[in-house]
Amino acid sequence: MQRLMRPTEGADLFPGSNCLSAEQAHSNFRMSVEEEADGSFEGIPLNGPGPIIFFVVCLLCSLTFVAAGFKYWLIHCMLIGSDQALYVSMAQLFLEGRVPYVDMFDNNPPMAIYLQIPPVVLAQLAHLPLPEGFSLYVCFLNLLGTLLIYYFAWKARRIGALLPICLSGAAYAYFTMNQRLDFGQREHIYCLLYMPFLVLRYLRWRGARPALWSSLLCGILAGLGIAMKPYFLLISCAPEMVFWWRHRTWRPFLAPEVSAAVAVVAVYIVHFFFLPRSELQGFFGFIVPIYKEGYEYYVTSMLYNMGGFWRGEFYWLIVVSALALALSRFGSLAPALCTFSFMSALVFVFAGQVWSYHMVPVRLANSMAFCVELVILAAIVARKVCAGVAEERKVQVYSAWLVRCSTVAVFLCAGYYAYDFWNFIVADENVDTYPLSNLGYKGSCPATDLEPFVESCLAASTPSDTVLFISSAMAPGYPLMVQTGRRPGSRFIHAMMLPIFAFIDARTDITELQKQRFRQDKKKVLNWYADDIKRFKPALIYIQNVPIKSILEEEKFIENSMRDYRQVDNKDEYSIFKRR
Amino acid sequence: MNTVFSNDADAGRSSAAPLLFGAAVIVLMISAAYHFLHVQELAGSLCYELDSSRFLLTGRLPYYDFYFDENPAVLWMRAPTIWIAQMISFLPLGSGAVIAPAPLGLASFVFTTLLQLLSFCFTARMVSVCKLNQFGAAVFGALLLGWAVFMLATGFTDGCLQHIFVSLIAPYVVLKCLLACGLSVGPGWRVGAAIAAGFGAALDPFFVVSLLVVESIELIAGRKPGLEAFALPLSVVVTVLSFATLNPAALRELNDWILAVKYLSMRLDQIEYFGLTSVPDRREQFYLLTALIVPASALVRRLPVLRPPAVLALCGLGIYLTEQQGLSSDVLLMMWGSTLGLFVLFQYFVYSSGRTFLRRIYMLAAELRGTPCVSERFRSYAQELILPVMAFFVCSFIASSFLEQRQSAEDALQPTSDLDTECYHPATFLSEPATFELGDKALILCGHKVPAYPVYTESGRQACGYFTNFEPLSVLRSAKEHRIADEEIGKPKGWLDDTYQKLWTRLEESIASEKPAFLLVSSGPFDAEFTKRNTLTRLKKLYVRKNDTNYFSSQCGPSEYNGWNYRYATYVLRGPSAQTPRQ
Repeated sequence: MQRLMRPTEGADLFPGSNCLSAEQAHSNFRMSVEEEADGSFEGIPLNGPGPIIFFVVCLLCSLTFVAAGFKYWLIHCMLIGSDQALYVSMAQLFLEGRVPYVDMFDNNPPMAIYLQIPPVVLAQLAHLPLPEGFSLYVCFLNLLGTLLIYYFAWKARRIGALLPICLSGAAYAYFTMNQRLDFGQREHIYCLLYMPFLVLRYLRWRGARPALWSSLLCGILAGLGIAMKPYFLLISCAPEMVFWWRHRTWRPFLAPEVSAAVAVVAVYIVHFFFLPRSELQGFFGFIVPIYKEGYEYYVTSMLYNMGGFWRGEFYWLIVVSALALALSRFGSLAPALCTFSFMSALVFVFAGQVWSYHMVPVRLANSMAFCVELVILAAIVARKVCAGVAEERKVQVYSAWLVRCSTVAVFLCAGYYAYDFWNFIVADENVDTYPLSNLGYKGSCPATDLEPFVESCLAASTPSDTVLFISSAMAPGYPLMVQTGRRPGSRFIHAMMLPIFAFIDARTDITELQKQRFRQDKKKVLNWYADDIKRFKPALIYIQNVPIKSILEEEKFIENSMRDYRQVDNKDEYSIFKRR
Repeated sequence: MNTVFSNDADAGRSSAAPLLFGAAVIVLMISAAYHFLHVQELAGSLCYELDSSRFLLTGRLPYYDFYFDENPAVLWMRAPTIWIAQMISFLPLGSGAVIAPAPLGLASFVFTTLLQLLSFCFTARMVSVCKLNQFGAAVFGALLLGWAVFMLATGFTDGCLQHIFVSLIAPYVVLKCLLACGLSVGPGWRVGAAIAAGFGAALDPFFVVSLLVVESIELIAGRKPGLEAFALPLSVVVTVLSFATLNPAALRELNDWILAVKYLSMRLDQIEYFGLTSVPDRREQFYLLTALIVPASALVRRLPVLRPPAVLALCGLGIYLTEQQGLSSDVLLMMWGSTLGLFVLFQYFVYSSGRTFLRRIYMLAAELRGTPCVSERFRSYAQELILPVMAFFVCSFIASSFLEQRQSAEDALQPTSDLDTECYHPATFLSEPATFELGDKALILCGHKVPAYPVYTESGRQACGYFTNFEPLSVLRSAKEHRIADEEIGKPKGWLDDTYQKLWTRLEESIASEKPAFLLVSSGPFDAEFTKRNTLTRLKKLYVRKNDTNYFSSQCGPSEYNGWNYRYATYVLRGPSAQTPRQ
């Protein structure tokens, strides 16, 4: 335990030490109260067995949340979000030798694909459906993150940070239990990988020195998460800025977890130099310019994005931030989480879409920050309540009540949430099921978890066939391809580019020369589609009626490049073509 | 008392503070000159309130005789502006005549400028009597400079409700900043600030909530409420009194449906805001807020002066999200809080890092040359002043570029029929003497206050009938589409349908009885409802459809909204022959 604290930072800096004598603790408490004026009161004095009981209760509650998540996703073994399915499928193709941005196109940097390799390998080794492998992988990341946070909480008990970290750990586990649509989205995985790192950094800036293995593990995980999208780096820097402004020292930046995270990001950047030239050209020379010029195609108004579906979350952000400003002098964890949340919200606002996954970091950080703030508010109230207690007993009474009340509150809340979730799972078990033997696996899953086109796709194609979705949306092509185990019949995983080309062409603020370049790109895309249809001979082609079909008809694509196909159905806004 | 901000020995030894204060005064003058030059550019929400206030002064009752969806205190607050405008126009006070846009704009400018000057002087004096040390004086100087820059950056939203609120609450917020820094302020200043804040907050229930939030956060932060806390009960009392001036019939209207419709308008997701250009793109305000909150979360412990403006900026964001209007005038509170906070932060960084950095550069240069580059006195002076001066120029440059961008608005009515290819500014179109006569009434039927306002005001025309804006009809239709149950809003079954029918009937009666010279009917739901209710057929006997017009603006200007969804059918009252349009 001596490793946890620097020798120069003794108990006077950390009044939470439970190895202190009552007199020492009392004097520290007095000092804490006196120091409030200049804001150096960080820890909450804790004594006796109460903190250990609190820790155990929180840990058990969090593990219950994690277990509930496992249970849910085991029942819904074929359920997977569309974006998530897309990257799992790309990882599968990557393992089969397809080169990103040459043999399979998407607009995200490759880390999003690399991070989906473990679930694909897991599914292949254990002969699980890919969605189930993916869900178990995300649940495992949640378990790993939760355990790491509790490990740090345990290590932090001597510096008075046990309560806030335990509660934020519970919020972390609970948040993932409740995810459905965004479960396993890139932002969700980033949060799962990054949050233990943030907790560790908080402790590090307060002088703690946890075991090297835990620092390195946290750093590597955070580095992997940060590398997924460039702006994750910006979000991750915000808490560091808070810590630095409060402590004004550079030394914590040299900690092992930072080195590990930086090393991972550096390796990721360097790996671009070793990628095939065609892959780099595909990403930087083809994908990036198109999305750069056509990004506004997806952008909707600020009020619609913020004030519509996500208004509640923004209110929550306001409350959490205002409280962080009020409680800033009691610790830096809440401000750090609040800034993480605000920077994530900035990305959401900047991106200009109402897409829910952009809000995942905001929602998670809000929950964690609010838990931390609740503890501090409870501590303030407890101290006020104990104002009449004799000076010599004040610390014991105060800390004992605080811990007892927190323990009971956590137990009751977690019990209620777990019970509620359990009922939800039980209700889910009674729905119609679909036998997985049709897909080559054992067991069954709720029929509603499968995409509506699954049956028709299975009936009209064999596992060795390819299927092509030409659609500006990921769904229903994904998750269908992953659920049925079919491979895509083109290098274009989706056709988001086609309406973007039309959008760029309609823009009035770019030159004709620039437009010409994108018109050529559009022709190239359509030619590649035609080549792929010849090469992969997809058994089925699904074409989105609006807006894709009209774009293809304009170019006479269906007439010229799909002569071997006849339309067999028009269902759910899709025209379905079958190979003759 | 010795604190980080106050030190008896150091008091009055500030060189940056007078400069910052001087800069604030210069910016204030530039701001006043700028607004004077753009006096005719009035925001939609301001015109709506001014028009409603004029109705009140002519004896018409809000809610009962004309539709109004804000606190009646707003109407009384706008009364001086109307009186000034009537005096400038040589109209008798309380006259019901329509006031031309120029005198109205000038009156609004005079009222707003006087109010903010008074508030600024009060605040500056309050700060100056506190024994601030060099650092404290510089920080509060930066705060005042930030406020002055905000006044300049308001642009065409100058004088809008949130701007008035900001002017009234500013002394209270600066007082809170002083108290947060551990400084003592005399009871006279506290009472003065509290009275202004109380009256300011009474203008809108959300302002009262903002005041409550600021008080609560200060309490949680360990600052016990002082004498100034009576601003909160005062605001409640003034709000209640403003409603007490109404007669029971008006209150009945308010209670029967206006409050419920207002609640629905804030609750429903506004799908019509979907398009990027359907509301002004004010994302930069959120970026500024983030730029404030991120460092403030860390530094508020050392720099508690940041807390009140930052909390108020957060409240501003909350109000923007709750009001669901999407107008530029709704982000003013957020903008004000952010500007104040950012100026303080800037000043803090100048003191904590900038001066050290400059000193190091100077010493390095001296070392390299072997002799000091400049005299010690000059060095010291430059060190104190150079960064505040830079701050002033940088911020003024940013504010002026920002203004230029906001004011360069395109705003026109584009006829879409083949008959006419000319673009019209909507106000020009309405004031066209060949088409209409002075004193004609007009009716612009669309789902929001804008662009009906400021078009009525700009053209010197008057909305006819009960409805000054048609938001209630749009909201009720939206509620029906969202399948909101009557019980959810605490109303008996069938209330939504009944109210919707009642309001449409009231509108049709207004048109039939007052026969406005000109009708602009928004395409989509309004046009559809007109057709469904057969109103169009009946109107065709009275009106002739001139052409379709597509209203558009480039988001930023006084009229704001852009318009793929603002295509209008234009109807003109038939002349005496009842065969041809009157022209």
